[in-house]
Amino acid sequence: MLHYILRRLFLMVPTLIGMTLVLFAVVRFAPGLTTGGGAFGAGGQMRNQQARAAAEQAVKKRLHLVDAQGHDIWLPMQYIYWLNDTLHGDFGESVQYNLPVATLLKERIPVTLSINLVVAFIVYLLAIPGGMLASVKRGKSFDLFWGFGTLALFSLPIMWVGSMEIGFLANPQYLDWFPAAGIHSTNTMWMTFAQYVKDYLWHIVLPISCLSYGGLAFISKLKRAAMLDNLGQDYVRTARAKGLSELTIVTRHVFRNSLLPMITIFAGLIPGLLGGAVVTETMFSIKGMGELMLTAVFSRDLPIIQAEAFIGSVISLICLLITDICYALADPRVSYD
Amino acid sequence: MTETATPEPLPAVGEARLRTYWAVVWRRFNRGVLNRVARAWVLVLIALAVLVPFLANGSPYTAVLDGQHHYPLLRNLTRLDWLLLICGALVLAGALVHRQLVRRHAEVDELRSAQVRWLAAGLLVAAASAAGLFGFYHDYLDTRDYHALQRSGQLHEAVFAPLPWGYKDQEPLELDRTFAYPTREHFLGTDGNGRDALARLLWSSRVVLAIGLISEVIALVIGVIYGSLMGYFVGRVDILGMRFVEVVEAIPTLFLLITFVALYGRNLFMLMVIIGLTSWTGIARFVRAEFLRIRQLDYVAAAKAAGLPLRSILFRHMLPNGLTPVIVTFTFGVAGAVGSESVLSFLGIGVEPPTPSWGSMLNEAGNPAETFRWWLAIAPGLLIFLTVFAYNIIGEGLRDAIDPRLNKME
Amino acid sequence: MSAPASITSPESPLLEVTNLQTYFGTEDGVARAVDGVSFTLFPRQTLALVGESGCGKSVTSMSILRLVQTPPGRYAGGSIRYRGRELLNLPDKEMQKVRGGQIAMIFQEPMTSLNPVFTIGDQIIEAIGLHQKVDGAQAVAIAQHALQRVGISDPARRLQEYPHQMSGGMKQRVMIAMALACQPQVLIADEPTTALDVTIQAQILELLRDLQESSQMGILLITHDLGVVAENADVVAVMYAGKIVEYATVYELFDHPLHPYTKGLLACVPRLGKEGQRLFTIPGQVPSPLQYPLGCRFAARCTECQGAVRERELRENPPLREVAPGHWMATWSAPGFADAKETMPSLSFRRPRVAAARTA
Repeated sequence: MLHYILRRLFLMVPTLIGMTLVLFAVVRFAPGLTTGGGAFGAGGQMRNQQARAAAEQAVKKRLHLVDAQGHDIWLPMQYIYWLNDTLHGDFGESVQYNLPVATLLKERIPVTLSINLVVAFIVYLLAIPGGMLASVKRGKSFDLFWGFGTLALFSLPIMWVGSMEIGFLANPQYLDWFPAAGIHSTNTMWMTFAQYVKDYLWHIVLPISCLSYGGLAFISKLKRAAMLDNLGQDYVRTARAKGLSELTIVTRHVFRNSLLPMITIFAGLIPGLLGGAVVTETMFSIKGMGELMLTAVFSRDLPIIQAEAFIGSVISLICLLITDICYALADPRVSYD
Repeated sequence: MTETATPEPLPAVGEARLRTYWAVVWRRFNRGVLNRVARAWVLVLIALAVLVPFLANGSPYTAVLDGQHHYPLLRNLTRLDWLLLICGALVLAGALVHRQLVRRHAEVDELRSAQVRWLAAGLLVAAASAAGLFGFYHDYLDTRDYHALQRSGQLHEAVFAPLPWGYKDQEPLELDRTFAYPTREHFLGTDGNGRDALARLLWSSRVVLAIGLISEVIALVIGVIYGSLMGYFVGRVDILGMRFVEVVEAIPTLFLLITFVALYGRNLFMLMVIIGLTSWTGIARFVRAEFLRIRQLDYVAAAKAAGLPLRSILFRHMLPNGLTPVIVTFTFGVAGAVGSESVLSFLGIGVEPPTPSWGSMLNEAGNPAETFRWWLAIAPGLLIFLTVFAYNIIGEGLRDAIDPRLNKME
Repeated sequence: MSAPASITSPESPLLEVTNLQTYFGTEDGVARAVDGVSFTLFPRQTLALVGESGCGKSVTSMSILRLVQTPPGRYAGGSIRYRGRELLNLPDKEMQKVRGGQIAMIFQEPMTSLNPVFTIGDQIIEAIGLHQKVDGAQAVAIAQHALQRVGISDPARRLQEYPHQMSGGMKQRVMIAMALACQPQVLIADEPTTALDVTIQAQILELLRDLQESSQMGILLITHDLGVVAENADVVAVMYAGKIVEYATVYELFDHPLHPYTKGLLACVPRLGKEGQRLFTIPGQVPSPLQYPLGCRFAARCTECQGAVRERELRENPPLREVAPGHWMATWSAPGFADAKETMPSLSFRRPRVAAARTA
């Protein structure tokens, strides 16, 4: 088993390298990399031509576009230097906050990841039974309405849902059930742990509902399809011929087999949630990865943008690795060596 | 027990007689009520996109100014407006021609060659008009504010469009009609700049449809080429190619979109390209899978044994068949592209003002935690929802029509 | 009724199928897959149900255990009696006890008939636990014994393996072991060897013969392969387009085939030693179950019936009548058909067996 994990890690290296290459290239060839206002710290406010040129050179040195003497560095070496910096956690300094990007990320990643994990948990908890039920009642009115409903849910734009929720559920003008911003109230310092947890949960109800409905719709559709697919398989016929009741067949045989696509989809769920997090965090003023990414775009804070893209991809790859391992555990047909 | 042996008689004329694969799929698709509704919605949107200058425009059809008759609306139509009109008319004509051709030609081969001829003619006309328009016609820059003229009494006998506002026309600042509540004059109120919300809503259909379709077409082209190359060459090309696909899929889509926009700018064309560049992987996978599957089939081995080069087998026989699941992916992709564009516009990094888009209108509705202007927020969101929903319904409907076994009880 | 396998009197039938009708509702109409099929199975007997693909033999076998998906299928008529009990209107819970415990079934594709995520031990023991009150250790012992009986060596290890680790022939043996673990009275074998290669085919069939000898089990063998029929069957029922067209002992059928379809089937078998022969095929195609023709369903492809008989064939579908003692067939052209009676096809014949050498 350890051998399997090591092998998967090993196979992930080319993907990681490819990903870093893509990110490097995308950023490196962006127009106005070193000169544009606020780009990588060139600070385009300087009026003096000389000062601006000097600042630009400083940026170029920091980005390893030129070496200490001012000569241009060969492109592949630029990549190596960049990769070296990144792997050491040196993502540069943010122009907005004047802090190292790594510090900012350290604050923000746990916020986003914790919310995303809760969402993933809820999604699986609700989607799997929903999909199972729909597959068992296939063709009947429950299934038809359910199919329509999930497709509708899936099509709802997340920002609209968020707007409506905040506008109607978090607004003193209408129903003021939930808070509209942040994940903690301002007086958390005087709370007991239980109150703190309750406060946290009260705050994240709306953001979580925003993030989870899409995944819920998608995964329960997938579960239903997987169940139906398995219900048509020959081994179900054998199970019936053995004398098993429909209930046992569905809950033991079919369920077990239909879990496999559920595992595979996890690899795509968290990265998808990261995207959704950008919108949700912005709307609910939650200081997470997504909100940082967006503000970085407006201030053209390229170090943050690059770092976020990189971290996001790394998280993605980690999820992929976890998925592979879980799948190997679940499906005996996958060999360990 | 006696059985009758009469098969159902085939209809004498019309599309029903056609038994080609796509005709059967189309017929099955149209049997679903929901599918027909979704299809109708998309057609309404397309019609809206084409005809909107005539429906919501700040320039009147006719007016008398300084004693002279003017026809401002027609004069102010841009090249794009004319081109869309011509294309819309061609498509309509094409539908009618198609119906006639099906009626007249019984054999599929005849039908196909007739279709190709008419299609070529239509494309020629479209290309010629595009060339003519962009070569000779110039957009007329009309800076007159017809509403102001009307208010000051200089304009007489003015016949405005049903909705007398364009997407750029602002109420003058002194009237202080920003964020106005819906009135009879402005059915959905006005936005932060005093622009009529309903007019912007209608004009957004162009942006939304354009980005949806064109970015997906870009994704389609990239995906088909990439996938077929992988499936054709196999071996190392395939392995390397799949690694790159995984790399693109590993980066969270919205992050990639945001990165691109931050670095490369956000004009309309760039947006279409960017969205296309992030959604081609699904199509590439499908095409590759089809190619790989068909390589294994017996008839390919037989054709090769008979001396046919693999290339002609792959591209003449496989690509048409392999595109079947791609159509479904394409439709879902359009839904996704519309969604992505609206998210980007909402975040403020999509289309640039004053170009209207439902996503940016949601943004302009303001922060709902402060003053919640629900009348500005409900309509654009609803339209995004309906459009994405319609495309998703069509995608599912096509999937069920192509392979009804997947959903039915069999 | 979960009595242990008891030996019924040799002449009282195990399975009596009378005029079974199984129809399917499709978007193009009603498909009459099984349209009036009758036969009788006795203990220690092998009844072969022969026919082309699409004639309804698989649906017949599935109908006996009520395994047909009931929408879109439905049991439109007839009766299936197992040892006197009517199966078609049995409540589900009772039917589940019959399945596997009294009547077991094995299928055509061993590669996909086992659940890939459970060990074969799990799957066999699951079957045992359903029909026998035994504890864990006893169940394992029964499972091991069952594997041994079907000729699988090292059964203890095999029980821990997963289906994908086994070959097709081995999987089919596992299926047989699983089916027989609860000592059923009837085994329905739906083309059990079609997906296997010829040498394995012979082994599996011999295995079935051996198991039948030691257990008095009746076997309903569904197949399209006349070679298999000739080697293994006691009684043969030939099916065409949802109906049985000929029914006789195996010797009688091969020596004196009466129905044109049977004659055609036999003519299709290539014979060794005859030089320069063209392979014979029956012209035409099986009619679609959605639109059976008026009259005899084989008439369109029949080269025998001519003249007035053909007129009659085209108008009226001939019923199955006993034209000679122990020989039923359905053609107006058979000699003595007009006087023959429509009796229930029932033959308790068993061919003489050669005692097989026991191979461990």
